[in-house]
Amino acid sequence: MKLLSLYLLFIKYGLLSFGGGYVLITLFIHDLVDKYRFLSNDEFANLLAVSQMTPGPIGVNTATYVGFKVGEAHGGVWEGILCGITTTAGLLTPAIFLVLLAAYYFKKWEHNRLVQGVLYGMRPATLGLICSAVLIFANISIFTTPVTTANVRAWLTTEVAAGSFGIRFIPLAIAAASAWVMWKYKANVIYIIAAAALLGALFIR
Amino acid sequence: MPDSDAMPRSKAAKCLMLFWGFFKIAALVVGGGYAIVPVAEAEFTQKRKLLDENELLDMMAIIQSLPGIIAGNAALYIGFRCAGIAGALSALLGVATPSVLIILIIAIFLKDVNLNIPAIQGAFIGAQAAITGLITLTAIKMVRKTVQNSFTLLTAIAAATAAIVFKVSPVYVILSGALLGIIYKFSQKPTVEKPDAGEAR
Repeated sequence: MKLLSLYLLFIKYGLLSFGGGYVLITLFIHDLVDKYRFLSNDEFANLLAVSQMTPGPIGVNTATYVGFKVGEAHGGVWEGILCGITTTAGLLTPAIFLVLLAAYYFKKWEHNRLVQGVLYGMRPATLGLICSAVLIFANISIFTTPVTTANVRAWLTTEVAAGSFGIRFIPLAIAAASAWVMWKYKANVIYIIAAAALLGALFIR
Repeated sequence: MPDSDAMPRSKAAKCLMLFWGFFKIAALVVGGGYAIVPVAEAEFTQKRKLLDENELLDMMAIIQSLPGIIAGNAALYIGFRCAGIAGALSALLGVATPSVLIILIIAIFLKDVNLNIPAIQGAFIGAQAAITGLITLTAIKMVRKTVQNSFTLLTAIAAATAAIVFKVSPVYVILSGALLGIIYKFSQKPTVEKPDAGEAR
């Protein structure tokens, strides 16, 4: 019935979510808002804000929230909870098989020359992606205007240039202090993030 | 959980450690998938010596080439490496539980929750700033370990450029890297391969 079809639907999303949770957002708008009309545009916007502002992977947060809303509309809070767990389980199910198979066979074949070649190129490529993620995180926390290709082009071609670019000093100090504490004292990374969140709540406005 | 512990011996203890470790990560880490990188590096490379920097990059490459939530895939991969299938499932449960609890609590009790409170926004930005600093540190460590010659240097720069400037999807960046790696390895004389493979491990 409804639970099974929700589970299967979210297995499909789990299979389609290449490159992490952000891909899911487009899929959810297309399917859940436009096609099945489980949610209105406003509800979805609200859901997205909650998913991004709460800890945890955005994909999982969104899946739980959508499941709850659908179930609640159909049969109240308990059905909402049940559907929220069902959609989350569906989203994560395909990865269980795919990641375990990949981890198993990768370990088995790691001395194969072809696999060695694949890894030899994949490692620096992944490193490049991680470096690009530094910019993504700095854009949301440290820079006042995100450094994007479009913005940089605007800064280079117009006279107003540097005016809109700025650095927020408290986040910059938190970033530097976090890296320093980690490097110098090898502190527990969870405590560093918790302390940074607390400092942010008190001092970032 | 004491701070300096290595991996516990018994399988049940390993599973419990994996569940709790990933529970803490998911409960505190805000934002997209790459936030998992510095946390995994600190917890599983530095503290528990389970994966070295190269293995962490292998993991990131493999899990990003597969569908799924990055944090969930990382939990499955690390859990599997530590304690087999039971470990993978424990770690995945640890990643999913905080999200499900927090979202359900918000959806049930805080219907018209207003997240535009300055303190909440500030906490969010503070955590993101910490992750910016930590991810930079991790990236520097990885550069020192992984970039050994002009091939690896150029591939890393090309990948970063493709992602930042041309917004190429990570899947294609990683697949292109893999292809370049195969071409590079097979264009080398077989005798060159052995010390190379040794130093990569």
